[in-house]
Amino acid sequence: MGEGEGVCVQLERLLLQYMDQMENLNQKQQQLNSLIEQGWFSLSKSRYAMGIKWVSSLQYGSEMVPTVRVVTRRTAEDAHSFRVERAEDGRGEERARGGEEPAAPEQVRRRKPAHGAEVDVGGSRGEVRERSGEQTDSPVGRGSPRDPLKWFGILVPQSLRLAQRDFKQVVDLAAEIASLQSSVTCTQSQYRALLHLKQQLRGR
Amino acid sequence: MAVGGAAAVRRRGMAGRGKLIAVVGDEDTCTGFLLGGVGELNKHRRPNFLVVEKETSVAEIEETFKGFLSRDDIGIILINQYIAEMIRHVIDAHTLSIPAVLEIPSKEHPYDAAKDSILRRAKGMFTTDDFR
Repeated sequence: MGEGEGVCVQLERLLLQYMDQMENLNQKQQQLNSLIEQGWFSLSKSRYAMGIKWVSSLQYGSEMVPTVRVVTRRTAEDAHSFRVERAEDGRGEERARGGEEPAAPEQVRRRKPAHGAEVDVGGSRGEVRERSGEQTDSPVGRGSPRDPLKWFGILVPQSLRLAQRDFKQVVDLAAEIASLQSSVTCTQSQYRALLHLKQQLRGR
Repeated sequence: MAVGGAAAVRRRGMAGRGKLIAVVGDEDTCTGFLLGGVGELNKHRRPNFLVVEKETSVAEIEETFKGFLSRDDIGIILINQYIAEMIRHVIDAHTLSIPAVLEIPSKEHPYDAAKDSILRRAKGMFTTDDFR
């Protein structure tokens, strides 16, 4: 097989890959559109239940800490992949920012120290911090004020919770679409480079 | 070896931090995504979202969007397609993978794939001459 033929085979492979990626992108985009529509519908229902003023930008919190972030990674094909990372109830974020640590009721309540090494009441600060870190996994801190639902009241209608769930799914899908867009762009540039090479070979 | 290890730890730390998702959209779109947990007000009180209302000027949208593009803590920018149309030249000029710009529908304007920057780039990719 000559060099020209090899390039043609590679071009065909890239073209098929590109078509697959575009089809996938199209499907994901349609899913995202329908999920967003559901989310808006749920928001409208909660606006109907709570009143027009209660679901608006006026209710946004004065402090906002993201509970969702995207982690980017370069793939082998030189594209970027996006992965959603959640800090549930913002507790992970709190730790990452070095902010106020959640209260550790265990430290206050412990009157009788346990046996062995854990008896060390005057333990180092690092140990205490470590224990409070473990504490964040307990259900004590559930319902943190970081949850954006709390901006709209304590007892919010079910439809607002549904809207939140829908938009969380949309965020996941958005990360997938961003990864696909990056792959599509990467395939495009590979295809163009190969096409240029093919034209050069034909010109010889 | 130790240097490699330290670099790996540093890389892991950066990966663990992650990037933000920015939103430029109408009130319902922003409210929805903020409910989803993407909102941030940083220490300078700069938000990672812009609620576009009737009074919002195109210049303001463009400036905010460019601000999001230049921030290195933003990984994805979600923008309503009808707003993207207002600043199409800025979106077309952005060719980097990060931040990724995603065009999404709005309540009054359904998504039109023919207007999407990524898909328009794909459209001009093939000519009949290429398949010879």
